[in-house]
Amino acid sequence: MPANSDLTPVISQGWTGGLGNMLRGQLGRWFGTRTWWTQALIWILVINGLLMTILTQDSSVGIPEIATLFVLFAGMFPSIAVVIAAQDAIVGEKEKGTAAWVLSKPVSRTAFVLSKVIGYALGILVSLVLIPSVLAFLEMQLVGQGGLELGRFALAVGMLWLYQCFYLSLTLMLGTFFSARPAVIGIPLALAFGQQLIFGIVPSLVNILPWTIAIPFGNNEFSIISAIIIGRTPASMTPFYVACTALIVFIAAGLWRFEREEL
Amino acid sequence: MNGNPILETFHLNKTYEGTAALKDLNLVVQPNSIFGFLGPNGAGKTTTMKLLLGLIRPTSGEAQIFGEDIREESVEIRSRIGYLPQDPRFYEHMTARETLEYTLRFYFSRPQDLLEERVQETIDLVGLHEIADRPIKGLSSGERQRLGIAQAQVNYPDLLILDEPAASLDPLGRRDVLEVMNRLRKHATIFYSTHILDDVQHISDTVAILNKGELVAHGPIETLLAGSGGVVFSIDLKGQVSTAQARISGLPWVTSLQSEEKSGVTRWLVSVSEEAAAERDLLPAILSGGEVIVVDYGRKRYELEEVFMNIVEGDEHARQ
Repeated sequence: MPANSDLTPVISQGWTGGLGNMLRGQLGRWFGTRTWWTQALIWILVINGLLMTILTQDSSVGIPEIATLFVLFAGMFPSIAVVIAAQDAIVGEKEKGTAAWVLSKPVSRTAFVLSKVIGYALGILVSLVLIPSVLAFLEMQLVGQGGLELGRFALAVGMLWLYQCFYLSLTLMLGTFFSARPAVIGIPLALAFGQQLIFGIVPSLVNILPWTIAIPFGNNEFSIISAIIIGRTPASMTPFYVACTALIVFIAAGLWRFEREEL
Repeated sequence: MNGNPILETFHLNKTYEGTAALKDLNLVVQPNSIFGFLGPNGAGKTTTMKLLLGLIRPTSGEAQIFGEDIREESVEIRSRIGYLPQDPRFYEHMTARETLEYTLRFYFSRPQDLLEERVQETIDLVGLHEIADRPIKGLSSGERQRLGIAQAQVNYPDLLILDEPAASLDPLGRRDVLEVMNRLRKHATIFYSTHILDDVQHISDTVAILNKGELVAHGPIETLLAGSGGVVFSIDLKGQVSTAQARISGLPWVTSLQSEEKSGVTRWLVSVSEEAAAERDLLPAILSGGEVIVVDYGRKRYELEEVFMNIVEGDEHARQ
């Protein structure tokens, strides 16, 4: 019968209290279950499947076109999955009472939120971004006969990940503010698909909102990420910087709000 | 009781949208005691527990656990607490064993073999060995409750906060829980709420009664059971009681005498103002006329349920 003195205590201090174990649990939910490979499989079929279909049907497609299509598919479609996957992360735990249970342990509220951010971000990186991107790289290498530069492609993959993390952080932040799922899922999806309407009303927002990070719009032939893959200078990097700033603001706002949550 | 209080609240208040859920709560819980926290539904018991754990914030007032402020040192305090919520919820994708290991890892990091040993021992303690490796989503409410008790004490906490620990359990499960609580009192202080007054009477040493957010009684259980209406003697008699009743009612230290007859036995409840005089002279005075036989005699001992009902109903009348 081991006494407490036989065990090595976890030193729980400040905002890091419980972060390691929370993160372990969160990663276990993604990588310890079938979630990681089912998500990877879905996005391989969608992203790489669509690319392969286009490549096999039209032999005249070059690297710029295929890079644009890859970024479009890998940017736009998985963002829906990110919102759907993350919408339950905080609201669900508040509703089911598991948040209250975990927070009765030596876990800080900051650690609770950060474990969601980091856990989901890593899951998304592997299943939704990295695996389809590696396969897409091989597909594009086949088309361009080795004309892609790995460094630029890796940078583009990192940017794609941050693009998805923008939607992740927005969804998680909304989960701290709302108790109802429709708002948590509706606002990010409206933002993801309503930006084109916004551009019609305020055209100058084209160079601010994150839409053009992955999707070409207006006079721009390439999105920011596809321009980077093929070695062109993006029309404007501002949307990317705005998305990165918003990502940090969303996480900070989520942490601030959850600190005040009554469970 | 000994040492500094484990838990102390100072004028603790909680208001939800203008409605007071807890009013000016002042509690003291001594080390190694089993503290029963009673009250009707909506009295504020769960609110108090959530405040102590930092799950909700007090509107005003303060509380200390282990001498530390619940707002400033919440994580540190929780590292020495085990908590069972009223309706325990866990991650459904985990098994009971995984849940206990996950819980234990908030407190201890290694060695792995001893952590596993602790988990197994806890599983055995609450009788979960047959379902330990089944996913939680398949467990009955009683099994979840047992798991709730297991996870609350897997870290051998200094303070256990249990919200309705015997709820959802059958009589055998209830007995087991009381046994576990009794066993743990050597190492821990137990602060628990319940509706089952019989359990409280059996294992608690201190009791607080809350009604509509206000503390209406607080003290050692013996004091509460002794009653608040002064010293009362209960006497069962046979024979011609009327003459004796007139004689006893006339004694200067007898403040009231209630008489009730049932199955040929008359029961008197004699309230007295002078305890020593009553102990010395009451029984001889009853027997002095020779018209009655005393079949039972003693100080009236209240049942907790009676005390509880008197206090809560008295409080309700006082409010009206």
